[in-house]
Amino acid sequence: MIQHHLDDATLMAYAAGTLGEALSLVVASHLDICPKCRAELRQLELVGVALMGTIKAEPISVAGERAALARLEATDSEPDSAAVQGAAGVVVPTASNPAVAAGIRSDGVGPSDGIGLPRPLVGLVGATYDAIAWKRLAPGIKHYRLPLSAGAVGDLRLLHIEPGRQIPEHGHGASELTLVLAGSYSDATGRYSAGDVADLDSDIEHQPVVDLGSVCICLVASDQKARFKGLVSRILQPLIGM
Amino acid sequence: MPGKPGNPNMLHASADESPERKRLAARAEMADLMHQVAIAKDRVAFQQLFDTFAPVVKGMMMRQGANAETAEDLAQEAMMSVWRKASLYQSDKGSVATWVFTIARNLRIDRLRREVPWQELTEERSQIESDAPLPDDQVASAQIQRRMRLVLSTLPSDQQQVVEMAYLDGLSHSEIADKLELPLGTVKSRMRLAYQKIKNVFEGQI
Repeated sequence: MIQHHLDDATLMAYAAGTLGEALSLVVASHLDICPKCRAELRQLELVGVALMGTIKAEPISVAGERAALARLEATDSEPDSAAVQGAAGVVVPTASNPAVAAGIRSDGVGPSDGIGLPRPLVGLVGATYDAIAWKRLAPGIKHYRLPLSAGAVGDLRLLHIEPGRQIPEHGHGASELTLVLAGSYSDATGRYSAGDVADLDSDIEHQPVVDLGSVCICLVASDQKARFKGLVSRILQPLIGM
Repeated sequence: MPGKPGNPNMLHASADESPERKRLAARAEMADLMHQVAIAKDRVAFQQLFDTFAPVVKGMMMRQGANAETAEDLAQEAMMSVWRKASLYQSDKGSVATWVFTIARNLRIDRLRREVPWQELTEERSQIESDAPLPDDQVASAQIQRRMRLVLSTLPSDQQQVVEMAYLDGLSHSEIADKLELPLGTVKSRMRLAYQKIKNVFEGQI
């Protein structure tokens, strides 16, 4: 049962379309499995609709309208775009993963308390956790950096962390979101299990540590470029000092 | 015909019909027009939708920094999307204006910000075409819109400001913080406070 949800300010930015690609993917992934946050989002979108009603409408040029209506003819002769193709960039694969298409969470291979890859991730990393080409980041910590659009600023990666390890935290001033996909971790603000999202202000260091018994897999986004080099060295310092 | 091309949420009240009834009628009309486009590819119906919504989308894009030409192109793209995906619109899932808002927002992310819009169209889950006459939900959603506009207009100005900067100017939290020379935390806090008041609309307390 999901206990940690998205912050209202985060959802508002998402509803307004201003959250940025990396953070937005984490939000979309959480929304994929959280009806409560989906309901909040719908309300926040209605705020956008109400505000849309206050904008000064700009008349379309005569030529523009004519061109638009002419395009209807051309559009009709195009093959019917696959129903599952949503807004640009959001493609829900069906042939490659029928289980996903049927709405069944594909658990893949991983800890049994995992939630399977949320649909927005399937197109990026494949259908199961097995498919991910993990790279070593630090002792007990593997990562996989997800590519972003050329214009996007930010960092988006999957982390695979052994039990008992500390999770790298972002630096001060960055906005960050962490979605737990498998396993769990605990910090000063509570315990985060599969489906939970950590949407916290960046001022405090929370020192999240993976709970014993399971590997923890998380999706982590920051609105700033990769800060993991600095973060990893901070984590390694206690080990080096030993 | 009452009203003029433009925003269906802002039709002028005529002497014999309350603004609320006019808005309701406009809302039902939009849903009917969508239905006609969906089942019959009705070009006349589409043109009415175009005349209503394209100028709004153009205005939205220009407010967010696009020049007139780009804004017009984007408005056309949005309406083409409406044409192509008309069969996915379900009137019991919200007003046509809501649908247009999400299409326009995703288009802005895709074209102006050049990022991937991570929005899933939930309509795709079930392909049932809408064939109902005025659903009850249209009544509810018209009331919600009216109350929402009221709450928004009565928010403290510092809260109203950050909300408008997000939705209307398309600015991120950091961009708003920079522009207003405020800490990020203050911007977020004002948004949360604004939303707490707005929630009263949905909980029937307004």
